[in-house]
Amino acid sequence: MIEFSHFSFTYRHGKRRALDDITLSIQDGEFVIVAGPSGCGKSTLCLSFNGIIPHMLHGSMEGEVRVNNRNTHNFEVRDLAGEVGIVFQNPDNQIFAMTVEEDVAFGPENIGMSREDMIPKVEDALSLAGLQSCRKRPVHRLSGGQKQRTAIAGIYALSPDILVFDEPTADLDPSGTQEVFDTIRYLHKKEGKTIILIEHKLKTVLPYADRLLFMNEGKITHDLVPDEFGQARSGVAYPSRKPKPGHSIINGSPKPAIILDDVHYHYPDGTPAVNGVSLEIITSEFVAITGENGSGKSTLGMLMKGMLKPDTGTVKIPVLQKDQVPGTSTKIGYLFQNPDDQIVMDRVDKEIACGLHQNTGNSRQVAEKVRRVMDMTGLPDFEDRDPNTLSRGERQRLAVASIIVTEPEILIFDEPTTGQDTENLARLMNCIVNINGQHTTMVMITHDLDLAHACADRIIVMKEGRIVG
Amino acid sequence: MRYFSTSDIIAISMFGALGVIVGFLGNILHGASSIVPFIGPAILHTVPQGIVLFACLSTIRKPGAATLQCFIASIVSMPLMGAPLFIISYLVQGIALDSAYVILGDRMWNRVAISINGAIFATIGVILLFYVVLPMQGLVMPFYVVLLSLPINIALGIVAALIGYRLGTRASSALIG
Amino acid sequence: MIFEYVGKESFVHRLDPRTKIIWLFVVTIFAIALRQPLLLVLLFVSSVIPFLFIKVPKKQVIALIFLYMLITAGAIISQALFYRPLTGLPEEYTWIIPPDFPVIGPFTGGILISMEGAIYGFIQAFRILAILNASAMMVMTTPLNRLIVGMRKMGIPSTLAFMLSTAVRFVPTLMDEYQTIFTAQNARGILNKWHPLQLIEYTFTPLVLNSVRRCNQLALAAESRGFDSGCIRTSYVSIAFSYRDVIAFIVMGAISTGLTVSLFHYWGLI
Repeated sequence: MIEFSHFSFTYRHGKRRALDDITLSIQDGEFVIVAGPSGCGKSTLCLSFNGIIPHMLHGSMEGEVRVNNRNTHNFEVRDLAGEVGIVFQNPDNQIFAMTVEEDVAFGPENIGMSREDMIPKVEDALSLAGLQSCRKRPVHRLSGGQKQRTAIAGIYALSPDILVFDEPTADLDPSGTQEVFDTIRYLHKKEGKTIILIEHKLKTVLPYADRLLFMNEGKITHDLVPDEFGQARSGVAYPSRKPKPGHSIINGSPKPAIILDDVHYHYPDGTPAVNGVSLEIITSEFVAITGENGSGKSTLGMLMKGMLKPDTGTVKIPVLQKDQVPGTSTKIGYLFQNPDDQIVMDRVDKEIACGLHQNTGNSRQVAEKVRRVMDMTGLPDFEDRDPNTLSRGERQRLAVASIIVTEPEILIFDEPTTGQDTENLARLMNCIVNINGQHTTMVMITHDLDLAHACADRIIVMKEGRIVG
Repeated sequence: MRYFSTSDIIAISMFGALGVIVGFLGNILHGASSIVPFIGPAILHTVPQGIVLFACLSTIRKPGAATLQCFIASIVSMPLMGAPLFIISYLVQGIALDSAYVILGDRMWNRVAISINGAIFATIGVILLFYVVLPMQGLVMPFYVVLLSLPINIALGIVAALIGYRLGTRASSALIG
Repeated sequence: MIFEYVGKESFVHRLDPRTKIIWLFVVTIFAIALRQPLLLVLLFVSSVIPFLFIKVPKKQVIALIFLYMLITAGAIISQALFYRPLTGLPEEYTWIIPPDFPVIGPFTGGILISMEGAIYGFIQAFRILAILNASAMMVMTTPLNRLIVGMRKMGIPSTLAFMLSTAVRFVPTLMDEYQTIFTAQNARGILNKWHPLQLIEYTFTPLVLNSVRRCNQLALAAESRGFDSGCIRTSYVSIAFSYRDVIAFIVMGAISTGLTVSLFHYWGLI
């Protein structure tokens, strides 16, 4: 049983209360979903259940949180590990050991459990998460869904009655997401655990829940029971496609931007990735490439950009001059999943200008370009901010900015939805649609079909290296 | 052991893993560096490991972090480089750096002090290589080889230390606890 | 990679990790201490014996031999140039740069090349090769997690063992991340091989910053799972001595005794 009594919390360097006078009571065995816009305090709420707030993340606190009648203020995080377990968003950053079964044993090892006691607990946890067949597999060879299930098993091994999940499927593809949701459902139905889940993929999980909490600006605004769930907005509101004014009628016939002719590619270790793809993408078209993990869509993107050379078949990009190497050319921009893999500088404007490296103009021109691009991506007045201080969504837009500053003709996005929440995704898509409106050809690789339908002119479905739809 | 917080401990392990990755190339070519005595050891050992080591200490800012990072990096590198001889060399470099930190305290964190430490780091590396590691293998190198190896090593050591320092300072504000 | 775990079963595989660590230790000490060429060769031979039991894949054997030849070549060439016996100059040599050559001569004392030095270098190579054999044997037959448990039982504090295994766990992940970063930055066109330091900065910076960000999340996860740096951790993986280790220790003991006796004899103590 969890009780919050007039609990408020402000982060050490925070300007306003992250949690504002929360009074809440959660009974054993309840399945609670917490939703709300980014910054509303739902993660902060999560971290208060097991004492991370206030013991590991410091700030000023009022009121109290009681878990099974223990005040979290008086107990260290590690002392509450047997009562409350937390699963975080990023699967990799919760796994410590080299193989699956050893990581599940991490918790019991920490509390000094003897080996005899540990073994049955690890067995139970592995079978709960359906991981017995990969128990000895090295963790870096697991899929996202498997890694996240390993994390859940690891928490389960300590037998807490309360399980908290902070956006556990944000980084996963659809099949991984379903695996996680099934496991959570099992934990609730068959084991009777108390579940608190933060999610924005509400459509799928709402049927499982007993209770839905909405939060905004640190307060709980709605506390709904299943009959009232209809009020809940489910799914992500993507901006609708604006009809493009005759883009294909410029200069008569439509000009192709990317031409692929019977392209085959397989990886150095032999796995076939692309099996005979022929495709033509017209200038200023917005194409979405979808498919399951392993269907070859990312590989296709890399072949288009020129980072990989096809084994047979050709990739033609008419816009490139003869001597330009497509792999490093700025005419084709390629945005990777994780913006943090690109950001180097300690100021936003320097980061954007960095992309202009090869095409140097004088400094006033550079500043002009930088400013224009910052407006386009919705980062006004951020010139001197350190990228480290920006939110994930803002860093994503910064990465986009540093690529479009070189005014590429073609832009390829690889899974832009990873790790994003609803509003930031909407902002990002607005920005992308804007760019497309300026006659840039867009290719978006995604497993989110809703997104594809909302934004793209054309959807290409891939399976096992071939186009099927 | 509560001297280091949980995030410190994990960060040191992470820097240890980084040390393994960057040292990867250098360690495999150690065999060849006997043929290229002047520049080989410098580029392959000093620069990559130097950057990671100084980044580690600049992020965690507690004496002892450097020694631990060196220990972890050298042991976990064993499957790559083969011989345990380098553990000693790395450890001495780590201890030297930690000792400098203990002596200097907060005066460590400016470019001059870091440059001096980078030079010391490189010098110790060269001396240990030629007077401890190689003699343990029975190989003798004349004094002038050591002397000629020093300038480029020291120069690169200073550069590596400064890069690591800058990285670590940015990273330390990101680390909690 | 050359020194990679070979997942087969053999006598050596089933030995306790502690036995293999001790063997490495023993070989290293002898490799440094022995003086006589014959003994060094014997040491090398005894370090090769365990390999007969391990079925190493062909590719790795070839890579290993190539590495050994590289090291031996390095030893031969460097000592051919630099070796000086205690008596001053080798018996037969040729000056490459005589001592009276302007500037370089007096500074270096002359650079010569001698057969004696080359032979000396060849013999000395056996030292490092013996150590590499013992080390390779250990690494190829023991998964790293068992090695760390072995070290733990030999006295390393449990928190340090945790740090070692965390580091090992992240090496492949960070390697992949470095690849991704390199590819992403290259695709932006900002990596220039003529500016190596800038290239290092553009690839290391995201790697280091991302890694530190990971540490925050990992710390939260660790403590949420009961981690306490002040407490002793138990271990899920277990290791135990068996009759094979007794055999191994007897053989090691015999070899060590033989070599020690020869060493004392050489020093004139016996």
